[in-house]
Amino acid sequence: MATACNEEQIRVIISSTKDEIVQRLNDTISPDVFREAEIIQNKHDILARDELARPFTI
Amino acid sequence: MVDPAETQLVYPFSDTPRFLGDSRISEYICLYLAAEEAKTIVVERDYIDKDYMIDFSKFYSRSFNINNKRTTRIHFFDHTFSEDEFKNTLLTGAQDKVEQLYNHYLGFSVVKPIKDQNQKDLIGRTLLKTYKPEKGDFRRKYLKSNHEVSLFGIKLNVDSLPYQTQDSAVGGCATIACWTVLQHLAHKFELEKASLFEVTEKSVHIPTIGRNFPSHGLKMDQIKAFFDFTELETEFILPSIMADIENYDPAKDCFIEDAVKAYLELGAPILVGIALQIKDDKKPVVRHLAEILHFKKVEIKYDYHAVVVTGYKSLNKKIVELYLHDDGIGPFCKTYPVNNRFYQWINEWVTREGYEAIHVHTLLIPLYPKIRLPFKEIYIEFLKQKRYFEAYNRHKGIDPKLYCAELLLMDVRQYKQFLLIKSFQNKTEILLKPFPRFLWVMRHNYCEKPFFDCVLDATDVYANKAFQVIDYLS
Repeated sequence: MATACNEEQIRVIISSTKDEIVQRLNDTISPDVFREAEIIQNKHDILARDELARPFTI
Repeated sequence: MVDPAETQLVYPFSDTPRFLGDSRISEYICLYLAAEEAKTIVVERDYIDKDYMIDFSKFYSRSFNINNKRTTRIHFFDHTFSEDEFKNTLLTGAQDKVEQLYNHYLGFSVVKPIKDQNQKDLIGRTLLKTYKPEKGDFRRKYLKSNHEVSLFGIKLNVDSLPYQTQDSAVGGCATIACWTVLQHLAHKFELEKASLFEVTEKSVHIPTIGRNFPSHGLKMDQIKAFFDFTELETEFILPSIMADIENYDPAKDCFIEDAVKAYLELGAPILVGIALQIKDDKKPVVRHLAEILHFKKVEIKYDYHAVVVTGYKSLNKKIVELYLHDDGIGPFCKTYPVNNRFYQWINEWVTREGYEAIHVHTLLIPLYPKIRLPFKEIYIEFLKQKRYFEAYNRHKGIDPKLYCAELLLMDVRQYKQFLLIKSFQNKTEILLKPFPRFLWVMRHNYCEKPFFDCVLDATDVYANKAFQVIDYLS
């Protein structure tokens, strides 16, 4: 159940686990990100042949 | 229509249609300026407009029936003054009157001495002052730069982004969109500008089987070719692919909104290809019958159009309206999302022109080549971080409405100026540290205030690690 918090409450909640959050943000980005980006780019390239072939005319 | 024999300079704003004509765009410009409380116009006849002059020399000068290379420029002001007062200012150069004109200037519109296929006047380069950045709790953000204007020697100034209507002889909607983008980026990155004819001329190096001139529109690869000529890199985002990203939740995320926010933060315009769905007037029963008889689904038909995203209005950091430079509607035209998501849009193409729907087809972002880390890679990591914070909020019982993640592309100057007025851990050490010129910033806000920034080097080819994490203090 979500509780409405004010800014100060959030600060207190986060301060207890701040190191953990900063560590998460500082973590090395997983190689999965680049693999997924490559798959996305490949799909782009395939789709581009059809989708980008339309002239924008109006 | 402008009468060349007329010598009067000052007119009330209500006379504007006499000079701008009665096209839909002219009507739009008049309504836009009425909202800015325009009161008076000054007509500058025989104005030499560089863009039109180039198009005239490269195209129109060899037409039998077009012999005028000069335009008319209409200047708009939100205060009232008379012909005598204005001529007296020109005579005396009285500083207080010059300052008054400067302070009350709303911008200008150029009217070309040529007509479109419906015999309506063609509006050339137009610069209109943008609306106020704040309205109640709403915030407006515009792509704009400072443009100095000289009116018979009187120095004026307008912060805006140039606009013009389609001149289908030298360029269709895509040409206008490229022209608009380049007008802004040329200002920002000191690039060479191009007239409409020149944009089309460069784009058609990728040939089609159609004629180059009169222009019948451009394809995305031709648009890319144009930006290659201007030495800008281009990034494409295709909606049908982005929705496939593993952590993407269409109910919580909207990559269109995220991309608009990210790129407009840096001042990078987004060229958007849209598919205008043509209304099918057939009744559902008739359509169904036709499908049965022909053993195939009745195909949905689209017209394709190109526009530029030039701003947005937000509430609590959420975009509620986009502003577009649309050569078929007008400058900074308001565009609304369907069901609070910008996958489909509503504007005059639906409400006035009778299209069924507007679908976002392609986003194309011309970028300074030094920005190497692509949106697609950053976005995957951004979504992972967003999901991490959402899980954290659930675990801690924090109302999800109080959390908001933003992805922003910034340059170092902009970012350090932002940091200078904030409090965060190791502030001096971080401000003294050299930063790359361009940065991707993943910002995690609570109660609309930043709590953490994860900063990545946007000039890097592979971002394997955060360049810097900013831990904000209260």
